[in-house]
Amino acid sequence: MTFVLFGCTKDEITPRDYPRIRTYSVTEITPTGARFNGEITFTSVDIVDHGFLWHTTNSVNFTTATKISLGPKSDAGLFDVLLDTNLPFGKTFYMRTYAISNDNVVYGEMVAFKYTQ
Amino acid sequence: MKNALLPLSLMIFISSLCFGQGDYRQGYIIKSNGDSISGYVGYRGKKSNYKSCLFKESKKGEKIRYSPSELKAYGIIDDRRFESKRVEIDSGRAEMRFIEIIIKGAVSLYSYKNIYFIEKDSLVKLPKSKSVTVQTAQGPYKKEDKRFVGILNYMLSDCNVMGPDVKYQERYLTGIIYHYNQCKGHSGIDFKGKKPWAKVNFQIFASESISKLYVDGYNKNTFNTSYSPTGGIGLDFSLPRSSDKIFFSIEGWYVKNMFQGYVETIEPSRTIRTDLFLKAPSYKFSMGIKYNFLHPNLTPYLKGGFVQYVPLDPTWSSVKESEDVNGVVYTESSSRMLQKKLPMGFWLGVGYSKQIINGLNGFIELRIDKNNGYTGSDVQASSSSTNINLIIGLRY
Repeated sequence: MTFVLFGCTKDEITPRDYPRIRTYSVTEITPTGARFNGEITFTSVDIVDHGFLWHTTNSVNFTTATKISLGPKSDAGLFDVLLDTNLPFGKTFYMRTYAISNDNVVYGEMVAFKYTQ
Repeated sequence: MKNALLPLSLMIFISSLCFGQGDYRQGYIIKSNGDSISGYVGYRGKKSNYKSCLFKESKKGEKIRYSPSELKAYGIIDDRRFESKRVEIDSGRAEMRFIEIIIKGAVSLYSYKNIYFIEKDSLVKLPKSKSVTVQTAQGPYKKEDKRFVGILNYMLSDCNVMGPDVKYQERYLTGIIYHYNQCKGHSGIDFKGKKPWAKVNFQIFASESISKLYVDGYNKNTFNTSYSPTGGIGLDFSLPRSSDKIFFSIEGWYVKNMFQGYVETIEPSRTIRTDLFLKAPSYKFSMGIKYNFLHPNLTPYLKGGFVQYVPLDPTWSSVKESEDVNGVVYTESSSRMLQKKLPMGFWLGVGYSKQIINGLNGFIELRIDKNNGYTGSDVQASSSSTNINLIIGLRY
């Protein structure tokens, strides 16, 4: 019965030919920075680079955004980085994760964040 | 899950096998010449028990059918007893029938279907209580025909046992006759005295639920079969004096349903792959009827009824990945609460119950339920789900 009530049913991650990546909410937002969070949920290929892209507009890509590279990664897992920059009060920023394999560039979801207190 | 009819057919097949075997319980017959033989008496629906007696001298012995003219009486130990009597029911013609004796004493109480008889010096039929319309100067009005109360008053007048509100029901009549016999110095034999009028059994159970969700607008194979542990508690209500085979059953479950699906759309310039998730942890309430084929201590059973789900904050979410021809993949995700809907449906189960220790039974059951699913802004018009449960539990 304990197993029944507290047992966990988890989303199943379906495989792809490219790395699957998620962007999670930004945490620890202060006037001097914030923590970016992401996860490689699945990969069957070597990841040559992964990390975060952030920008002041919602056009967040390799051309426009600032990149925080965390380098190659060979397996799935959580990753995060502490952004060290001035965040003006109330200004909205946009961030997304990325992962690059030999054949694909994968962008995670875009999330917005701002320092409000 | 592909073919939900298969387990259902299996249930019906097993049930019919069990039904065919019959329920024989320790009992006796008393032949017309007064010879008494112990053995096993068929415990059947009362309708059948009134017509004839099925008897075996040993458990594996040959079944013999006796008619009312061949026996004086027959009975099941600590349970029903039937006596052969010449009675007139409604045809205006007296016939030999088996009638159930409820109390034997200075005054005895008998029943045949829903008709009662009392015997002091001779057997007297108590006319059924019914509502009759009487025409008066003020117009028609309805009143209760309670001639049976007059007969009882007359026959039991030497003891003050009649209360103000006498009902034409076994429980009330048994009480009156019991008190009359006590007044006469002996309370008589109440053949079903060891059986309570009403009984409640508690049960606790755990189950593995195998579920399939179908949503309008999606291919029927879009959603994977979901496996989740479930459990709950329940109550079985019964009237053992009437039958220990039929129960009204009510159960409360906690179900952690999580359905996952996948849709792929190929366009000239991109391929869109979408994972779909429907999370609907729910309380589930089942109401129905349970029928035991044999003695409650060791019996296969059949259950069926209605089911009502009460989802707790059901959510619908999706993760969409769009891959263009250059191999660039964009991920988008969304999640929203579903508009609350209470899925309803029906269920059917077949199980086996066995006594572990006195008063405690273990059971195993295979059950299928079908309901009209969860809906919301994404799920659109309608959906349905089919669940198969393998249940193990304890009943007290």
